[in-house]
Amino acid sequence: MNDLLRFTNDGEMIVSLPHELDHHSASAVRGDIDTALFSKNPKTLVFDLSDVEFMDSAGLGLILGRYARASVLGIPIIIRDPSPRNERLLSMAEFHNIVKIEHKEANKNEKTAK
Amino acid sequence: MKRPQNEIKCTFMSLSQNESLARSIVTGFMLPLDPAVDELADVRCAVSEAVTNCIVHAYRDTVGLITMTLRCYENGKIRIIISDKGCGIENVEQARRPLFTTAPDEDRCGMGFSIMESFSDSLTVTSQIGNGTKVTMTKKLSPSDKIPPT
Repeated sequence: MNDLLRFTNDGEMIVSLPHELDHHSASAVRGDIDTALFSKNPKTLVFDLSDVEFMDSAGLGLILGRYARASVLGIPIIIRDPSPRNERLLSMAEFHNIVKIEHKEANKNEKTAK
Repeated sequence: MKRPQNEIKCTFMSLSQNESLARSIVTGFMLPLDPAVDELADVRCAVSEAVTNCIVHAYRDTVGLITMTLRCYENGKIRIIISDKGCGIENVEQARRPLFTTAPDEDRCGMGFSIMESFSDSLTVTSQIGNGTKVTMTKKLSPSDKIPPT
């Protein structure tokens, strides 16, 4: 698993979500994300889903819960590089209406080349 | 119902680390049936939802046993039964509604049953207050494109 949190110079707090994102693993990362969100006050909160092979509704819940907190702080959320399958799951829960979903292909190639 | 070709029944405690165990078991059960990648992913996700429901809702504040039964039939149909002896669901129809949740503060998004429903061919939920819940899902696997041994 990657390191959970990264901070970029342009104010992004990037959360690299785990390979298997279920209720168990979501519970394990929730606290660290919230602590960093409140203490580092980033410009944007990015959920990097490029490494997420499995996700269920607990993953949706994790993002939704952080969305609620980030909204209070006025921090926008971006979901980056979900697999087609995970993107389908996100759209089932109508996430495209509340957050930006983007694909960074270059990033993806770098990952698969590894 | 016809006799299954294969059947597995297992019982495990309602601990969150067993969510991935349940997915591994169903994956191991399905692999010899040569499922399509998406079919396997659908079932893994549906099972994960059902087991998580038992852990988060049925045995809220307690730990109990979850039983998972997997059967496959000659026509490529699989049947998954996940049952608990937990608190039961007061209103099944309401619980199955998309976005309905009794635990919004705990990051539950109310999509569990919706996901089970869309990732299976049929979903039946029976529940009795104080007696537990039984979720039955079926899924028909598309015929394998492998040439069968002669």
